[in-house]
Amino acid sequence: MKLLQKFIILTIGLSVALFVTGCEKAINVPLKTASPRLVIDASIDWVKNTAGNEQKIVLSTTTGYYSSEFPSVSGAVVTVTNPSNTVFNFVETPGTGQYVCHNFLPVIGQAYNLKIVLNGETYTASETFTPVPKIGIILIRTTKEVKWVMKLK
Amino acid sequence: MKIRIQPFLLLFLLFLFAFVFHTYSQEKVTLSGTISNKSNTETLIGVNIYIPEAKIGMTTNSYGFYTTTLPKGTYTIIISYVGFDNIEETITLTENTKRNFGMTENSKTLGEVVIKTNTTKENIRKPEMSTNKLSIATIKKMPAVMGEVDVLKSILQLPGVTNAQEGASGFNVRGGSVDGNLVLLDEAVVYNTSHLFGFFSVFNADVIKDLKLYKGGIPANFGGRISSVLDIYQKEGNNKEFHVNGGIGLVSSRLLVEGPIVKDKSSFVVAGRGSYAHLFLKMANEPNSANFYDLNTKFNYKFNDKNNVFVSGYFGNDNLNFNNSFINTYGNKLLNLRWNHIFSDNIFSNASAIYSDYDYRIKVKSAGLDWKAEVKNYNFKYDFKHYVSNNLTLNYGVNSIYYDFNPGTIRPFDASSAVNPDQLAKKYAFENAAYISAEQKLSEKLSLNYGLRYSNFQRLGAQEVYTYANNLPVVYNKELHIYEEAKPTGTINYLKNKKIASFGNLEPRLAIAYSLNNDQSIKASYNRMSQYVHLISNTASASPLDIWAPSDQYLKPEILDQVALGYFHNFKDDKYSLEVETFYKKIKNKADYIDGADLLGIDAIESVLLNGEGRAYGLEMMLKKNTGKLTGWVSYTLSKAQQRTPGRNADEPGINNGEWYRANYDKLHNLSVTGAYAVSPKWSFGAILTFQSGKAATFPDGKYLYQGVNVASYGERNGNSLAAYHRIDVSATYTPKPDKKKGWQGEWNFSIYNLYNRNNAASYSFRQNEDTGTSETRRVSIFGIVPSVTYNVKF
Repeated sequence: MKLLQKFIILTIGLSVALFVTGCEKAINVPLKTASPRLVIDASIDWVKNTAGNEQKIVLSTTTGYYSSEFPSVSGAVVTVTNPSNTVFNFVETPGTGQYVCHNFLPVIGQAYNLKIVLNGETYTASETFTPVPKIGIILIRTTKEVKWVMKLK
Repeated sequence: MKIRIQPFLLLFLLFLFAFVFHTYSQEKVTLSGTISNKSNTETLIGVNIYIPEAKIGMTTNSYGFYTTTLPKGTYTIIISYVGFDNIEETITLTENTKRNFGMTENSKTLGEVVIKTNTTKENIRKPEMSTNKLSIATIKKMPAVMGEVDVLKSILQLPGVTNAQEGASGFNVRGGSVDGNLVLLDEAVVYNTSHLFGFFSVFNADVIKDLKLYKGGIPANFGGRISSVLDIYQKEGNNKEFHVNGGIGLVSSRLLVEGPIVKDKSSFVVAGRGSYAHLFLKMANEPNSANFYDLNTKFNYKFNDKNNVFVSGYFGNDNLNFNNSFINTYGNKLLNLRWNHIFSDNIFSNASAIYSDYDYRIKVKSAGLDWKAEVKNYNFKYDFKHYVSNNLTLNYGVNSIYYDFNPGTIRPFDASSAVNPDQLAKKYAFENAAYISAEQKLSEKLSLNYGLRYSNFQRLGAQEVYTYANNLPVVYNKELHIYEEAKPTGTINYLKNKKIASFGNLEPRLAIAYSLNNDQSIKASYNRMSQYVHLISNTASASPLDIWAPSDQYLKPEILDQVALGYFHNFKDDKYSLEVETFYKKIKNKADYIDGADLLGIDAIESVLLNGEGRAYGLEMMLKKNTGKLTGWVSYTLSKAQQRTPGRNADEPGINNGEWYRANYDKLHNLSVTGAYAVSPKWSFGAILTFQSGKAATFPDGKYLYQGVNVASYGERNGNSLAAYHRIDVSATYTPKPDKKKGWQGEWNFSIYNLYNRNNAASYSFRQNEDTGTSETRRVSIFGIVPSVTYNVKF
């Protein structure tokens, strides 16, 4: 009977603990790598209280899932055009895949067209420059106290 | 097919047909009655009866009833049923005779059970194939995980049956999805068959009398789901004596009370089950908890030999709470009223009126969301079993279901939530069917089961339905190469009970058995099934976010055609049996989701679904040892289930470029070895070994950097698999006083789930390590080793 009692006490503890506990662990699963595809990271951002004339577009390729590096893409011709057909050229900082423009003119509500020519292929996109809604207060609450209050103009 | 056959006209013609046959057979007398278990008065389903002088064999129906017509004379009746002693009696028939039999259990005795060689061996002769019948005695011998024997866990050990993953409710049959199984508890439809992450089923084994799983060759009296039928019957309750049966376990406990209300005429059974781990967890200051409870009730009254009324109810609920920030509750409520009536000794009828209510609710604090959905249905059925002659039995009847779907009532989680209350459009439908089938013995060697079912489905208002340009709720964006939800062009308001869409299908069913000799047979079957209600789920397993939706002009009914071929062999006097079967299925109107479909709060499901087709095929083998100290089986299934969703025209790629891809629940290998070993009257052991190929999954084949975030790029849909699933469960049962039959009888059960603590993968997630930022594959597993002790008692 003593052994039985011990077994019961042991299993009560184990069962209750194990019951609702799932387990998550990093494992080694070999993954295939598909042939690289071009990734165009183009976001025109106009930070408040700046001129918004410095803009950057990053070109890279997809890489193996476990790889630690993202290959950059050089030699592309990157331009953004506004409705009055002004062309903004983005020039690569050599070898980085980052194409920078120093004279960009952001105008809210205008439609911009992006064009990238690389290895005989042309990639295009168009977007309207939209404003971000005004944020008044950000409240972050933990339990019952208010931890952070940020007021923004 | 839109053939307009009035179901009721059909039924009237059947009645006429039946009466003609009936008046013809006045020369003979009928012998009929009910066969029950002597110790607990429960009627027994599928008992074999053989009359050698007339070379007649038959089985009792789901209410324990049998009937046969014979010329006046003297006959020997041989009655046999696995787990019970045979009965052999001589009967002289001079007039219509009612003869009931009580059988004695032999499950406690050890040693071999001798089965007489001149019994009919129903599994060889009957054209029934692709079915597995599990007696509650067999289920009780299997390892009891967490101290509870489980009906669903037992059927997972049968060939052709797998489950999506651990922690998921539902099961998959022959590559079919979870919603393709028609699960019936005393004829009422059960929508969610699991408690507690799929660990327990909603079926309390103490209350179950019998269950049968049809994987193919589905007879005409069943319809509405394409993959399988799991038909479960509850006990009626002992109508002679009171008995109490209970068990106290670490996680849950149960109690059953049964007894007579009017001796020999009326009985009741009430059983409750509940878990209390959440109380221990609270004491340990663990913020997560999970609990469930269920209640089974049944009451029956036998007015006379020809009339019997049953009222049964099932109420169950699950409550999962993670730190009060994610709460999931769901439950089934079933209420069922049935009337058995025997017309002139050879027509057995059952009329049922059923109410079923399945509701589920999720509350997510971080999203401020409280979402509840519900499916209610009202069902009326009338089934007849007409024993026309010893070579012909007719089955016919009608079935009507009215559905009321609430896809979502959305409320804010609490006062600080930003969610606005909303009610998604309720959906209504009416499903009707009429069927007729015949079980016919053409010769000593050849038996047939053939029939036709006509089903009809009407989608009804009141509802506002969206209209789309060109009737296309999903559009293909050629620029971005993706499918998108189309913007509705307007709505049509259908008033209450006005028809929105209607479908009709003829479903032929056919099964043939050819006996090569007394111990071997070949069987073949064909069936066509249609399914009008679907479980919309974006994941491979049935999760709380599943939505039951009825067919309409955009979501068409699924139609399945299945053929199967099998070889059956009993050997060494039925000590062993071998079943080998191969099947092929084709499914029309199998829908799949466009990439990125978001189902939560979606009012128009049609805008994220594309129509496609499915197919599945496989080979199943099962070798069973039926008698002796060691019993059990080895089952192996090799199968493939695929789907294809082509583009709707030459400009669209469809899903996976319109090529066949693995279905979510496709598993190549499924091996199960089950054994029960009765060492001595005091000790018995059980073990299960399960091995299944890993679940289909979509893995990334690369990643890229976007806005400073690592984004995984996914490859072919379901082009990979998780690691294989395998585990061993063991259990031991200790009965201190095995000879005690009266008074308090106790029994200890020790079990270990997942003996070698394998962390079987439930899913893989691909993301960056929180600390190092390197990309990782993370495996989520649900259950490691789980030991358990239960004390069972009955008196």
